[in-house]
Amino acid sequence: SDSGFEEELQSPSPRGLPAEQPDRLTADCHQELSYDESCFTIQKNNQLKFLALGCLSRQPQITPEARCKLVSWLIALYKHFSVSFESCCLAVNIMDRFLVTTSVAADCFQLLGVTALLIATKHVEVCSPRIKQLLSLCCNSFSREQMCNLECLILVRLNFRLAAPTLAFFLDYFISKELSCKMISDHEGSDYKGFKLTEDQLSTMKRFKCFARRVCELSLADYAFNRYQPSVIVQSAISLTKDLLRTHLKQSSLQHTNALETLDLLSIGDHELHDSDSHSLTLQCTEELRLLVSLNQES
Amino acid sequence: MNKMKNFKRRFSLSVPRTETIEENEFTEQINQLNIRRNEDMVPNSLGLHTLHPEASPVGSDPQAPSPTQLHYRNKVQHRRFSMEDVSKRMSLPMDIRLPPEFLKKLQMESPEPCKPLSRMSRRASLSDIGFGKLETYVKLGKLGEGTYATVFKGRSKLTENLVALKEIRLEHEEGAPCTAIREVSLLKNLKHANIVTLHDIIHTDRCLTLVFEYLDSDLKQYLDNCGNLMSIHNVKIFMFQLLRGLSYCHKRKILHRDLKPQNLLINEKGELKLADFGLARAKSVPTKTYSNEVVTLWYRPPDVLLGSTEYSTPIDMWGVGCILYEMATGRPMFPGSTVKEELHLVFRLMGSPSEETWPGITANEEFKSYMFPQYKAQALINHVPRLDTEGIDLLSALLLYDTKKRSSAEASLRHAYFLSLGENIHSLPDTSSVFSLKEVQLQKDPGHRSSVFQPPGRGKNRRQSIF
Repeated sequence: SDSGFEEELQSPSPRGLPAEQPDRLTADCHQELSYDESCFTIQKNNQLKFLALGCLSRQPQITPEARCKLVSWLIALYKHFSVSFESCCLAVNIMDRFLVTTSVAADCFQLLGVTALLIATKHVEVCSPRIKQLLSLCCNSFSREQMCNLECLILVRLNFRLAAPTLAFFLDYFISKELSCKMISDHEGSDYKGFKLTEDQLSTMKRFKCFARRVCELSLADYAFNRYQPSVIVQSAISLTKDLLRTHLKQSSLQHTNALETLDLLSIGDHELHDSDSHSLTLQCTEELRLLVSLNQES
Repeated sequence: MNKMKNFKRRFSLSVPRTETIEENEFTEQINQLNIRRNEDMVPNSLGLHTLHPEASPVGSDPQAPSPTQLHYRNKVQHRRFSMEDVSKRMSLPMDIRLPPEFLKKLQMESPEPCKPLSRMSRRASLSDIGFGKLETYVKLGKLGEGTYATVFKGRSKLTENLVALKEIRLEHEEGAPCTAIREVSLLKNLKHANIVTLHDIIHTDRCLTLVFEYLDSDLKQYLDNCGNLMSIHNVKIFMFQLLRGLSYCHKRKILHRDLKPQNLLINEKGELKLADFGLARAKSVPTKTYSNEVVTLWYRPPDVLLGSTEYSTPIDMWGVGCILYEMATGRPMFPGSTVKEELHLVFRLMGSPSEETWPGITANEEFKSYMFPQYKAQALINHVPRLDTEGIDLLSALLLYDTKKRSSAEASLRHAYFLSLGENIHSLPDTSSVFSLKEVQLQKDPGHRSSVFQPPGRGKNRRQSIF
């Protein structure tokens, strides 16, 4: 399939995903709750300021199709370099916001994408990919000088505003929050620290997270989702993933009943996930995502 | 890998391109939506000098452009002012009102429907009065030099204020240094009285210059200057300011990671500000990342010394404790030169860690391999006799092995140690200095030679930190 989405559905273990991101599902989600909350509030309130609404509307040469191809390629790139999903999301955001300020020729679009990835990894990662590597992945169509110059131009045009809230942040936040809520409510009064997920449960969780990330990746590449705030997309992606995974598990054999139970771990947050004001928006986004996912499953 | 080749192929198929790019075309496209501010900058920043200057000047501009200036065929024409116009305006004092026709022109600027652009054009108008331009700042002398940057003392022609100019060279193999990118993007979000202010960013051909507010001294120098004997009251005020700035950062999930006296700048009013965010990062992702080479050894927490990469806000708090000790005693707390020596110094004073004080330590292979002797914790009061009981209590809370129990910045601000500073200090707006309160005043440091405050112009001894 085009996006590799279907493969993800069928293969039980995640493949081709960055190996880092240790399971933070269980680690320190209890202790750091208040810090996480304050961080979430700040990021959530910042979303609007970093939204690149209609970034293609005044681009003479860049079409949504071209953007889709470029972002799909960037998604492949971030996996190739084993950098975090955060870097990937940030790169797309940097690219989109630059497109709001500047028209770009079609033949420079790839350079823009790969330079945005460079900046994002410099901001997020310990080690960013070498410029040489990035250029060679563009078939050496561009020079180092062009890339460095564009890098500066992007930084200046964006006024160095790089701390954009990303899909990756909200994905991590919502999943660990739901999980910790469930764990606390299940084990109230008993020894909280003694509770650990079984191997089986962990792998289901991993799979769930990985699937939700897939949905997020698809939305990243599709220009139609450019208008939604990241937190809305993530909420939609999570509820859609639950839906799909549940259906999928039910259809397959009985040996998955354990996994199904684990999945219910995550159902607790369903109602509180949608706060009233953004409810209809989230529903709308979920439906659009569902369509997108089904399209990509068939192709 | 197959998949990626796929993408690559499809991408290049869909985007036909010649072997080498038409540089003109590139610049032209980039210039299309150009704003005035950047017209003189873009060609430089792209390093393209082969552009064909547009023959005809902009029609509506009465003044002929200088011959050195290039014009580009812009689809969106902006009204523009000649450079002369701008420089004339710049040489005028700061409080000058802009000429009415200038304002009119600004208002006539094509109304942009979308937000970021209007912000950009507002920024452009700022540049017309000198922001974002190197000519606005006069270099006065070098403060220090590092691999990536040189720091100069300078003065702004606009405000007559002293500034610190951090020049970051961009001619690196790998483009703009990541430390610079992080420092700027983080500092832009931090507006606090106890965090150094980034006034301006200037981008020229080969350099990125960050314009910071200038602070005359840093804590290291301050200590040197008062013969390492600070008034114990001033220790408290500095400590409070340090925690205040740090708490603001931590609430935003930003870790400093490199706290040390040299990074705490102090001005003549006694205001203390956190500086040098080159190693800092917004902590928004799970952090497997970062090598454990981030914090200067003396202020590095033992968990990091033993290879922990679970970095979170407690990483900064250990250093705060060490700094409190250093201010109160006048000497560094754990001046180790190797990781082993550093750990040894820590354990000798604070006691060997046990499962009780540090859960999981007995299973730590790294720790076991050092085979340190068993030490009993010593009473801190014997080492910091000038600190009162509350001060000792705070110090102990900051120097806990267990990161989960180590006092946070937020909690430390509420510690009984600071009760004597009054209640109002907790409700100050972020951008107000603690000295805006009458009841908060510095005292004369007993060890100081002449006055409480630093004499100006000691640039040579200045240990400005540079990444």
